[in-house]
Amino acid sequence: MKCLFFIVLVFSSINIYAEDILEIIIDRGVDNALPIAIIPFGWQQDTLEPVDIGLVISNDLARSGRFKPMKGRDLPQQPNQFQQINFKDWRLLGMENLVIGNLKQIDAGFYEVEFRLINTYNGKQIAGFRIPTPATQLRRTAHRISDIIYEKLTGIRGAFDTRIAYITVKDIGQDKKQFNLQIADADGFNPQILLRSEEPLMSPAWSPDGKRIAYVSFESKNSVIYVQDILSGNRIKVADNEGINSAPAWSPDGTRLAMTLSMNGNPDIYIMHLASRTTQQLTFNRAIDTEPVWTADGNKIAFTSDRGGSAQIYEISAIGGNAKRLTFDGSYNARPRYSPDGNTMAHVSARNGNYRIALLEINSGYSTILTNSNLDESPSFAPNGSMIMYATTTRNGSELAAVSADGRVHQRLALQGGEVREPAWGPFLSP
Amino acid sequence: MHVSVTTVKSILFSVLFHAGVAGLLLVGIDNKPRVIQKTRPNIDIVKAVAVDYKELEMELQRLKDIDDQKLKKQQEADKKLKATERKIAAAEKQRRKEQSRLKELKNQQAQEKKKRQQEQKKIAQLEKDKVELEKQTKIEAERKRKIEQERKRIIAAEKQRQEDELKHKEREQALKQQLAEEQRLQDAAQVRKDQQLLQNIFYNIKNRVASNFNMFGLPAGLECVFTVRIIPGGEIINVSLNQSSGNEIFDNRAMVALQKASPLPVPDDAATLDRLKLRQFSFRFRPEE
Repeated sequence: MKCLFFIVLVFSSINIYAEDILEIIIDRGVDNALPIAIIPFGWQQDTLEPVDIGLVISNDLARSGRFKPMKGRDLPQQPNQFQQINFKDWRLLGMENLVIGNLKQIDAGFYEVEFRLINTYNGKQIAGFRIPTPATQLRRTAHRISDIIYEKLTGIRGAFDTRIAYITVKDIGQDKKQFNLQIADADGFNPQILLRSEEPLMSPAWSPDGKRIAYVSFESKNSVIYVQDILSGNRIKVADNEGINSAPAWSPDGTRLAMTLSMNGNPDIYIMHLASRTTQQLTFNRAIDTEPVWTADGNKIAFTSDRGGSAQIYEISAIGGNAKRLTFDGSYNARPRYSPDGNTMAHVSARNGNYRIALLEINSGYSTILTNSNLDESPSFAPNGSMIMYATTTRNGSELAAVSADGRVHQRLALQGGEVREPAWGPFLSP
Repeated sequence: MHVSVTTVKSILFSVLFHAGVAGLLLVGIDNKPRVIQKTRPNIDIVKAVAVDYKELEMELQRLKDIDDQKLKKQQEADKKLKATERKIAAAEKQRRKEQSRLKELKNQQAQEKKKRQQEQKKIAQLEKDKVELEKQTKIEAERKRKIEQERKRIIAAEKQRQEDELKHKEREQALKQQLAEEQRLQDAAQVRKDQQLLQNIFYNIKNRVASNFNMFGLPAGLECVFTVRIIPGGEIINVSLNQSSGNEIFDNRAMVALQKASPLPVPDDAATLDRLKLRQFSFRFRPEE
């Protein structure tokens, strides 16, 4: 009897609870940049700190377009330790994300970078690490911290600790131009010239392990494909046939290069096995087949072909077969690049005389135009698929720009004087 | 003990006779072949006389005849004695028999008397019991009667009470209905007002929270539920996660959205808040594609 009474009591309290709780459904939100406050890292020495870690992070996050770092002068406090944080003050500013840290010199040329990412609404630390770093790698550590913050707050892997390759063209007078193959950090810092040439350099392509770059050089007046080791600077000539040797594309396992060769009459796609230097022809079409690119699993290759009458993008199995057409919108679709997850493909699309960067949804065949300018080319995906770098032509010539995969964020990369072309976004760097 | 005269006589005769016989025995001779020591009167043997043989024989015969007569007499007397003895014995037997029979009879009588007495006792007891039983029956009957009376009384009273209550209830009911009707009209008006008010409040709250809910980078198809408690004025004093979306970043963004939206746009006074049941409610974050 007592038992029954108790059960009735419990049920009635649940009932009451269920009855009285109203529910509001939030079915929409905003897609704003996330507010984040990055406090300048603590530095105890009198000398100037070698790298302003906090600033590198702040710029990284801002450049992604997804974060809105608080300006330094607006920071109400500058805590370096967890205990120093006054959470309420940050909440009042609507700053739910807070980054604090310290830079310590351990030895000559050796440092320790420590940081914490904190949510000011629940007062909890989301991430915190202590990273020993040689002096030369301090910027890299800062980028790695940016990656961690990015991933913890968006769920997407960060691509700040990456490098880009590109070609610069400088007018050196007397109708001469200087072409440089350069690599730099993704934020443009630490530029490094890999090759200088008075003849055009084109199509830089990162090996999957990030240690080599393939490119096309006209230094011998003919297009030749080279593969150069970044660290040592050593290079080997891999394709020097008659006619066109261009558009090198690494297979995902790094053992082969797809390329455009015209040695058998007209430009077709070939696959070269690097170790043996043997080539296999992939396309056998009278039309121009060029600009090959591999899928992430290495099973298929997309390329540009005008076999249908106009430049369109096709897909073919890596072991050969029939090519399948992928693009149907517009009269010009070229320069395909698969997204890292393989679901979409960035390419150049001409609409109304404007060459823009477009994104093709491979399954549905539906294409979206991402950029808004006149002459865009050479799209290249960041290894996390969130941004597409490309070259855009402005008054000043060719510049590098980036657009987010959903088209909402636009960035300009002001790297240096002179024209910058053909960006290639390198892979994730191994720690 | 009643002794018959004949008996007494017999006894007496017997005694006397025995005495006689005993005397006889003392002096008489027995015809049975046995050695009897006879005592004779003192005769001097030395003084022997010539006797006539015949006279001797005749004396001997006379003595024998006397002896025979004596014997006969004795025999008859014996016979008579025996007969009397037999009679006496018989009479004794009889007497004894009668005595024992008498005793038995007396016993029987006594037993029967006892029995009768007992039975009389029993009867007396039974009579007593009967009387007692009758008495009890009477009492019981009386009790039952009283109970019945009481029951009837109670039933009557209950009936009356119910009738009264019913009347009272009906009156009350009528009154209640009247009041309820008035209250209903009032409540309906209030409910309509409240519904409108709630709609407005929800609209404002939803806008405030949604505009703080940053969805950048979140995968589609996620859903989480939070419960919040507020105080008059709308300040959120407690946020708790009821149902996680499985994605920690999504949950965090929702929590931040709620906390940034605090204080929520709700009425200031506690009474309205309570009436609208707004002290505690849930948010379901379920962004549409």
